[in-house]
Amino acid sequence: MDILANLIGGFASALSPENLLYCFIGVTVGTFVGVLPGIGSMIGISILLPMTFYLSPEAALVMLAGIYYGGEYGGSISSILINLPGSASSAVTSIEGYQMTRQGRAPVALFITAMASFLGGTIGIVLLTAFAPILADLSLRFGPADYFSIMVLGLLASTTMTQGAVLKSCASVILGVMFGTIGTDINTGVQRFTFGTMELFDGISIIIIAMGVFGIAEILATVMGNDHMSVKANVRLRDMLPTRDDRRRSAMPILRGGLLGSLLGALPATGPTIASFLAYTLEKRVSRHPEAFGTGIIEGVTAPEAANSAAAQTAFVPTLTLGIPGSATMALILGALLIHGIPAGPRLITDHGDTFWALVASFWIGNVLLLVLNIPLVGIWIRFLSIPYRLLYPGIICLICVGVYSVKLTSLDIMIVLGIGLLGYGMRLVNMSGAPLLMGFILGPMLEENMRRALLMSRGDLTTFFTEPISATVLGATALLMLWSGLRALQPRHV
Amino acid sequence: MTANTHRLASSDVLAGVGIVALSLGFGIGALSYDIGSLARMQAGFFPLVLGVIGTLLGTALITMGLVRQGEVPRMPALRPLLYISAAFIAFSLTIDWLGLIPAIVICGFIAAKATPSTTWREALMLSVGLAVAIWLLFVVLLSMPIRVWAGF
Repeated sequence: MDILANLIGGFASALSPENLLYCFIGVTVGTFVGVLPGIGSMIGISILLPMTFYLSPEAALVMLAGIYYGGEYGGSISSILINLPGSASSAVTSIEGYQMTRQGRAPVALFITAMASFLGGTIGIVLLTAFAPILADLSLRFGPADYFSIMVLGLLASTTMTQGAVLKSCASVILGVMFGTIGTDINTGVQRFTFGTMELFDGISIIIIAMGVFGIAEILATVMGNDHMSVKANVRLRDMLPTRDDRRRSAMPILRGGLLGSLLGALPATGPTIASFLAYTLEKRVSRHPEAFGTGIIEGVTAPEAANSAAAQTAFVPTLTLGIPGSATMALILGALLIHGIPAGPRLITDHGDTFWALVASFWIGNVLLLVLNIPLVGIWIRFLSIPYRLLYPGIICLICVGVYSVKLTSLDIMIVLGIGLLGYGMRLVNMSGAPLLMGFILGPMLEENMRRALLMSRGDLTTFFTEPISATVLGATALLMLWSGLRALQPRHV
Repeated sequence: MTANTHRLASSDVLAGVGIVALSLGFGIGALSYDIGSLARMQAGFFPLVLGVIGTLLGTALITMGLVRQGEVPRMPALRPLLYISAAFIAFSLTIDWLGLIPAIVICGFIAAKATPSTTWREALMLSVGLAVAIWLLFVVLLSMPIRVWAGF
């Protein structure tokens, strides 16, 4: 049992005091940003990313990953209590969860979602542990043409899954890829689009793009909105235990949600948000009394929460084994890997096996910590919910400033992050999603590199992308996906 | 009449115009580098392809927006837009000159005043508190090499 031995080694490393501390910080920050509406795990990760320069790569990854899956736990708390999802992937939880709160069953709903997240996350981790090494082995056979096609699939798939028109999302990807070309061209050494400024020779940092498009744009869009949120539910620990009936009715939805979420998390572009929506729809479909959905039914809370937590775990599979992120958040995690000099991809498990297995082990530990944070300590998070947004965002702005400045210690970067933020806000105003831009930004340089290499090997023959079997299959799947989404777009839209 | 003005200002058209402008600038900029050939691409090849694709996508968006009745873009909230931009600019101008703590106090204060309901006193207390917290976190705890006060 190779995997078991590796996993034990991983635990030994993840349980070291340093890694344990950063895992704890990660999941705590994750729950915090997850709970607060208008602040997502994207902002949490990009704010903490500059601070990880001072940590070991392992501790940095463990912490950043903790923010991501911790956010899936936290998001449900605000969904259930105030009907305002703390993160997009918990939006569907509010349908049944808030009804339960109105019936005075908030404590039970909070307990069962934490349990569902834990069990869903566990399913995701088991599958991740089993399949990541297999996928890594497989991807060793991929050539540059194959990589190019897989990245095209990842980018285009991300456009079909985001909100808003496909054309706008495609344009958003292109903008991202354009930003990615700024800086020194690695093949020729030519300075591209630097306008002669030294500060741009290394390109724009992923931190700046993420903080601008997500942090600043998000704050600008939220600042005039929701101000005071009051929590009416009174949550005491002894009220939290679900009844035998609740438990019996939750078992199968958690299993189904966890499996569905694991699958969707590993696929490109279908992250936790889509997983939670589909899990809810699935439960409604298989239920013997679908008419009861919408009245505070427990299956409608547990299945989506299990699904989004499972998806948050398996999302790491393509990111770590192929080096191709499936979502914007994963693109940011990949950026963190690159910053710390760990090349994600098939070689990660063989060359940096200790880091990989320590990270996987930290997922298990993190989920246990989250269970503690979300059940006995849920009262703390509820209190955080009553902090008005107007007192929170100035802190985030200051953290963005300091974080961006700390990367290269140049004040020009502050102006660039503001410019990117204004662009991101403008995109929001015309209903253009920012997530594809970040995907394009991180994948762009790899896309160019693999395209160049593939065409160099084929001596400029473009058909290489269609004659290499893996590449051809992937491009075929991409074409089908685009055809499907194109047909869907032609159907009458409801305004 | 109103339908026409709506279409010209629909979010599709606006997005399209913005994308075409950016892509054209980018594509034309790419022409100043070596293009090379398919087999041996030089620095300009990939950016040029991006500029062309972006221009096409933007043009398609404009056409679509003109043909069908699209949604109207949301209006930006001006006050937070101005204040928050000013907060960033203030930080950028003061960080090298005055150091971390004064820059945070100024930046945090301007940012806090973006919401009219925040009083002067609240904004001042908040920004001073933030400066202390950020100093503790970045300088004391993470020992980031950054100037705390001008001259120190």
